[in-house]
Amino acid sequence: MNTTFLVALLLLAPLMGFLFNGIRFRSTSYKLAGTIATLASATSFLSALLLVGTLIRSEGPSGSIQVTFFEWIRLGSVQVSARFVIDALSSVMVLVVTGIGSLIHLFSIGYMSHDPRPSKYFAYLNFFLFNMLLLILGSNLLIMFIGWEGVGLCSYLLIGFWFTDREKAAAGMKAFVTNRIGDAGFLLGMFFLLFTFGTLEFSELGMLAPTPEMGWLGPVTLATLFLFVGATGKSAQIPLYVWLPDAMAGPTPVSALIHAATMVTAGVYMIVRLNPLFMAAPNTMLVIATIGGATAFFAATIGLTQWDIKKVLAYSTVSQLGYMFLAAGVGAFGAAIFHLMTHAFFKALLFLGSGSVIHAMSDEQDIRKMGGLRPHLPITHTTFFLGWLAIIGIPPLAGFFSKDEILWMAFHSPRGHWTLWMVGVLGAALTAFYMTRLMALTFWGKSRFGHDHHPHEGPWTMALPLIVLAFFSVVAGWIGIPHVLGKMLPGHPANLLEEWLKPLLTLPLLAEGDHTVIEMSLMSISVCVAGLSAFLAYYFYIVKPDLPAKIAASLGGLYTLVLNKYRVDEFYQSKLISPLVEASKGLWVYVDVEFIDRISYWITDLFREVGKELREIQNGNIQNYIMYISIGIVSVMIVVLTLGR
Amino acid sequence: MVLSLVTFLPTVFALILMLTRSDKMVRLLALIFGWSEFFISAAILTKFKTGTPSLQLVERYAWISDFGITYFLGVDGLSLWLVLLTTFLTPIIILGSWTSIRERVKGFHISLFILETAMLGTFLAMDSVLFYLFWELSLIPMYFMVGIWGGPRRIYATVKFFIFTMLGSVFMLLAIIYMIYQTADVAGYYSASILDFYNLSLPFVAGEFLTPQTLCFLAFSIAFAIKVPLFPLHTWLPDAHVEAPTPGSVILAGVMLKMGTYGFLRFSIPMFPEAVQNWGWIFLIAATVGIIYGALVAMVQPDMKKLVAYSSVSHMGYVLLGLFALNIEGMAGALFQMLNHGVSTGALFLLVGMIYERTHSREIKRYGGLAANLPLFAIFFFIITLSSIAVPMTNGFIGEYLILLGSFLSGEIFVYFAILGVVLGAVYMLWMYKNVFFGTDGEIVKHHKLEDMNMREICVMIPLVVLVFWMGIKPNHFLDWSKSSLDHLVQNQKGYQLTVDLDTKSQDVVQKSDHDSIVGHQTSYDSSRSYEAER
Repeated sequence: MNTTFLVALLLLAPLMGFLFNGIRFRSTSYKLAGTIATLASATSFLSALLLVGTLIRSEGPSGSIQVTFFEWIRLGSVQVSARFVIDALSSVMVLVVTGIGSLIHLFSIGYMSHDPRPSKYFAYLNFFLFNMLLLILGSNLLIMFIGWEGVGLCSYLLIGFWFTDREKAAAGMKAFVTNRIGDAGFLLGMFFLLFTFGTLEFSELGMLAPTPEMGWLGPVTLATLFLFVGATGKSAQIPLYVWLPDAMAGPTPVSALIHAATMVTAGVYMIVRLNPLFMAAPNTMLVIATIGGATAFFAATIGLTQWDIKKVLAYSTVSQLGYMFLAAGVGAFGAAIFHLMTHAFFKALLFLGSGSVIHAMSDEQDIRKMGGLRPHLPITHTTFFLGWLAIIGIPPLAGFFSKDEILWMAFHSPRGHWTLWMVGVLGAALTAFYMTRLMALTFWGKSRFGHDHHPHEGPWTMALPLIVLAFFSVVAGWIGIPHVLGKMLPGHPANLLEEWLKPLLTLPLLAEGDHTVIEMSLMSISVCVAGLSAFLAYYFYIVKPDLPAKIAASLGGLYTLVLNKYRVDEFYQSKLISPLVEASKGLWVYVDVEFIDRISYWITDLFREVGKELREIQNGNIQNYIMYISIGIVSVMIVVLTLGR
Repeated sequence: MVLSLVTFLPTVFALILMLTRSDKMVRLLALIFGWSEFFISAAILTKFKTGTPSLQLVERYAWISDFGITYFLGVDGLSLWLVLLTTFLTPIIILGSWTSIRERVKGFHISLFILETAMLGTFLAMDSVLFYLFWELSLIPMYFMVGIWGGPRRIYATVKFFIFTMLGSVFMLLAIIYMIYQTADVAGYYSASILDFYNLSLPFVAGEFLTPQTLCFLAFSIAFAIKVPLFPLHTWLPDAHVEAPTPGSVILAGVMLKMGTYGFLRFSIPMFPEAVQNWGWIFLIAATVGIIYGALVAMVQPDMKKLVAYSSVSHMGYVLLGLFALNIEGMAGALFQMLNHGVSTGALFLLVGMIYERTHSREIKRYGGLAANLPLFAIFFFIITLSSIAVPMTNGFIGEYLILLGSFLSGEIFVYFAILGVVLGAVYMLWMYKNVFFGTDGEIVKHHKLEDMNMREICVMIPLVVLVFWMGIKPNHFLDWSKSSLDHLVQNQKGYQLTVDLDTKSQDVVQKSDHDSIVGHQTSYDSSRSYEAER
């Protein structure tokens, strides 16, 4: 089939779905709205499949399908077209996004069945998909930026979907504004690139990338640093991660789609897209790896203490995104995309599973009020169980392969360092602990909910996505089996993903030689640490359920600090936002009203006073007038006589 | 003849309206007139040639020959869209104020049409005295609009507005008179034509303040800066907006502020190249401060209209930042932003007016929960909010992006501060949106039975929303018309000249009038010579 048509269909199907549901936004028929939206999303998925098939058949991973629709801006140095590219990288993303997106649309039909405004919900969801596709497929940074801001907008709308709750509306606004800070960085990064290279096209930027630039103030380093600021906003990294936990105010399928599987990975995707440029800026790479590693560890510690099922998963997402940045920062771009993909499957699964739990528990999200749900929710439990195994990195599930590749590269890559590996392994241990804690408190042990709850599985539309995602959480890792394992396995499976992405990546030169022993031992260490940590959590929360409280009490202040998320939000509020608001009030009152206006009054008063004084002269007294006239004549004569000479 | 027709047709309409009796008739006729004026002005597009920076559809007749003052109209890429913006917003305002203006309906519409003539004349006049005349004329109907149909403190606001702008105009008038006298030295005859002003290269000494060029530059620029309004000359604007009736606010924000930025584009920047190079930083700093300051102060406003007014200070700061970047990206962005601001801020004032009509309150904290009660209104308000905070695919993004890029490419540091406006713009607009539309029903929402937008209000908003997306998705449809003029200005900023395009239908008129005016010039020059001889 014609590729132009397919690309148009891929993009426009969700847009049409948005318009259809958007125009009839008052409708309450969740079935119609949901079906249309899901069909739109599935149409996108099918066209994506066909396009990737075409790509494989024609040129393979080194080729690309490019489609130009129209010229967007043509002015001076800005020559930007609405052009879209399907290549090795975007094909992985587009399949993940439309595939998981379709499943989540399907899940939403059941989840939103009691909501009064389903049409609006599905319209937003479709619009999100459209923007995400722009972000992924755009052939230049500016088109990507449309999608970049567009997904932020949809995120805002969906976080605040239940806007009558003031707090949820505030969470939406927080997300948008925090993202805007990142977007300002993105814009500056774009300006630097346009100024330095004269183009925003990814293909041209990739070829123009210079040799590695030392120092901090080179144009490429600055550009990439500013772009990374954009990434920290969208992908919730330190210091701009604060919006993501609050974003859990949105409906749970939204958290699964936008705030776990797709949108939040946009920053990683952008960096991988521009990998030749980032490789040319070693200092930026160092910053990315450091921030990524720090976020991975830091967010995981907060995850240990949260009681809201979605908040645990939210911090887990922040932490896992940290791993992706860690990978990108050490030059393991393939590993970053690999983890992005496997994470999309298992985190979407975990979020949808939590949605299923919340749905079953009539909107209860506190895991202290759950427990023992396993017999009530067999499908949810089984699938969640697989997701749990995947995220803590138990072989041969998906998370193991991708996380292990990141850890190995953090250790082995010339851009890496053993400390980064250490942080990664510690983070993995924490991940195993908080995920097991979540599993234990939610599904295992004794039930702690009242008798008024009658947990039950949702309809098939909710079960099917869980099953499909669970399947992929198990097998998705098999397309990226490391060589060290592949050569031992029967049939010697190759690292397919690495081969697929290779033509687009500029990779660091790895040390030559045989590293089988080190790689295998590091791998065993991380698996053992995760397993031990998981066992410890099981022991704490199932075998000795009163132990955690005692430990928490003995830790005292440290525990409260972590429970309160290190009080970062409070810090931003008291040190940044409040002073800014107070200062603005001060500007208004003291500068506008008290200063500028005062001056204008002063000037008008001056004229009025002068006028008053002058009025005194015209008092109607003839004698005075004669005196003025005489003075006038004399002065004129003096002037004429002195000057006329 | 087309430009004269476009300019004075509204005055004719105003005269016709004087003869009508009933309010209903006045409104209906005004609406028909407003739209017909728009379609007639759209005829300019059919005759306009995009490939040339020359002045087109020129009309020129001798007027006050002794001083070389002519009746001189012309249009080029700099003024084209502002003319259309004016004629486009007028009928929208008429329909928008259908029910909000209840007293002295006839007088209101007459003022509106006279104001339209004044604004169009300002954009089309190519003779400095004619320009000044229209510029000042625009104050009078606006004075009445705020003073008669305004809010409780309308007299204070209208006097403040009048005094501020008059103060600037005085400087401009002085500069115009000075420059007319200077033309005699260069051209050999008096001329008030803007084209002749371009040929004057007024003496300039770098670093010295008291040179003719610098003083003239500042005299013009202060007049324009007050109108824009540029920080710190902006304090008349919030008061004027708060007290003005909705249509007054729309026309004030939508078109009148652009008279200031247009002035920079037509006078300050091309006429005084060295002064712009040397003293442009004053305006860059003021613009940057204005972007941030306006946004910060908007953030803490309790009144919706005041918030939008301060947002105008911020948005117009962007325009000046783009203009003084002196490159094609910045200037085109600035021109685009002028149109954006006209569309989206105009729309915002209309929307605030719609809700004010229902509740008679604009206090943000008394609202809340409107999205649940007025879903359609909430959608329209949201779309315009997006445009105002420059989300891609809306018009706002194109303008802001080009301006910031232009500012970046100019190599100055201002862009790093101005970019804060991107964040702060989202803060104040979304803060207002959150508090007015989200949350539980506010005090005022509980006590009023609110009705969602009616058909008339939807018809008011639809054209604006269409423009928001049209300009955002196909900016070339708008930029292409102005590109030659802007390119010409950017490339010839030193030694800018504007030629008259003679290859238009009004050719014979031009030649005839040119002849007249030249004869006029000679007589004027002769008469001044004879005066000197006598002395």
